[in-house]
Amino acid sequence: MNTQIILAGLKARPVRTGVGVLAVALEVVLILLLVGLTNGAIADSGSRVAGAGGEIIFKNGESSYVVGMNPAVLPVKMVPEIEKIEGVKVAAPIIAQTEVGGGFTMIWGIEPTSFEAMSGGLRFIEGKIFSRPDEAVIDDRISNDKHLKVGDSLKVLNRPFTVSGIVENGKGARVFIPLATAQDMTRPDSATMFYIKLHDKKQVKAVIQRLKDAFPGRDVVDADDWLSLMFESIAPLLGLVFNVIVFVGVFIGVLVIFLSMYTTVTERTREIGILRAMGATKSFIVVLVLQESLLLCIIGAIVGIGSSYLVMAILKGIYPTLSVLIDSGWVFRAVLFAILSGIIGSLYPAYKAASQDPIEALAYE
Amino acid sequence: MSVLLETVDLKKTYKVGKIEVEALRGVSIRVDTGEFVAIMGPSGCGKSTLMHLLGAMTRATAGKVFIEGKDTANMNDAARTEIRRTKLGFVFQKFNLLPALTARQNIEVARKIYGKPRTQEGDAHLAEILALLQIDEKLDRKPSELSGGEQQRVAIARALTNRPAILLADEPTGALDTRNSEIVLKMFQELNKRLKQTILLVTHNPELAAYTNRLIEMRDGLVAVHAT
Repeated sequence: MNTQIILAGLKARPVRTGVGVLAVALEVVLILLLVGLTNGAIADSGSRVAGAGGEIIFKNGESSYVVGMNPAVLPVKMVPEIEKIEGVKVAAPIIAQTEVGGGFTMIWGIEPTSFEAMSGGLRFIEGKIFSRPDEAVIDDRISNDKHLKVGDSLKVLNRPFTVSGIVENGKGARVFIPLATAQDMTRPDSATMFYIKLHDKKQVKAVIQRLKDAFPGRDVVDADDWLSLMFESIAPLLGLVFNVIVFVGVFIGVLVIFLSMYTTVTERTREIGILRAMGATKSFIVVLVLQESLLLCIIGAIVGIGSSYLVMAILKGIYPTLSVLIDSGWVFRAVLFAILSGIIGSLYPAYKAASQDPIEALAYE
Repeated sequence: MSVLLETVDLKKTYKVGKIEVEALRGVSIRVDTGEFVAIMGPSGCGKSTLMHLLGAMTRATAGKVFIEGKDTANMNDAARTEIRRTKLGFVFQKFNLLPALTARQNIEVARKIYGKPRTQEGDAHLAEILALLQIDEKLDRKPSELSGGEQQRVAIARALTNRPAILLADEPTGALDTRNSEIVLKMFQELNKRLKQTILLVTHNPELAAYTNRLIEMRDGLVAVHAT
């Protein structure tokens, strides 16, 4: 029976219902998209770093796992020493930089010979590897995103480059520039990290141990563990960012649900008076208001989830390089937060409704 | 016949700003089971205040209101709510149906609030009321699709569905034309005769009193006349 009263109430005020649903949907979209974009950017960058081809990643001990944020502090002269370690086939020095704008773009400074020996080489769709300091290789997603062809000009970290080749995406960065140019832009004769290729993949653990013993203070990591280590290392920051996103989302939800339910309760003062006159208890009225708000939030959450996937598809169409990762855990949490906003936002209106004096409520015009 | 409702020296004072207004100044009345009584008087005589007190909607300043022997005059909100739910049925001047619900749903709301599971006996009782009120074919209509008289008959069915001890009707024909007023009042008479329903009708219209068994006339917050 409550359902009939609630549904009739929602149907009788379509604008108010629509606005309430949209506001909750907006809350869900805000949470899912912002979290999804953050997670997507990190996961995409991490998986490309891990998938570059080497089995081991060698970095400075104090450097972060978010490689694009690290300074180039490893001397390139370490490469021959690393290659002397038993099991190491090749060590490729890399300078990793991140460009922010239209998403995060990872830029790697590479030395073509060692990078090819380590990764098996970039797979060219068009053009070739750079031969001049101001040439760059881009991946197909950047090419599609920015409509760039071989020979076109491109600005990388505020410096002009010419596209010399377009490669398949997935191997490290989206933009590759000569290591020497990258060093010129950061620190000479240095690298952010070394990618290490082994003679035998099965020897990863043993080689890692040997490298750690030989280079104390440096961080030597199995490339397969990179993604999880990266998430682990930025978890506190990520947690803070997500908390802010959730807080803003829930705050919007609470505010709109409060306004919506407060208006409803005021508009329906007389109806509440009728129910109270018929003997409806205060808890009956509170439950009625909360149930209506809850239904509004559930519909809003469903619309929000659908809209999030729709917006995600549209964004991916506009920005092919953009990665959005909406996982089921966050979908579940977004629904919970929407319901929570509904409950918090309708508490006072429910209390106000239940506290109405039946005589005054019946006299309300 | 047993005493169903009784007030003893009932007083109610309101504060309007800094001024105290004595709406009831010591009202003592008795209504027996199965009676159809009219409380009549001009505007401001205190009949609506008396109705609110008999309907357990507010507390008395002094005196007592006994409904089936229980003093409701100073009960707390929860206890008065229970009295309204279990002992009383209300019919208002403006019908007060929930506009978004159909006639059937309006009646079901009252059953839901009553909180007891539906029984065959209860369904049969409702069917009898609906037949008597001649609205059984209009139950799927919303209030806006019913005439005033039909809306008031739905409101009466809603008030009676849980078999209240007393039906309190506050100016039930105030919003109706003469023809519909007559229909509604005759239905009150039928309900009183056939179902032995105790009815207390508040009105300012002397013509309505003719349909009842007994008249209580009020003036200036006091009972002026008891007449049969």
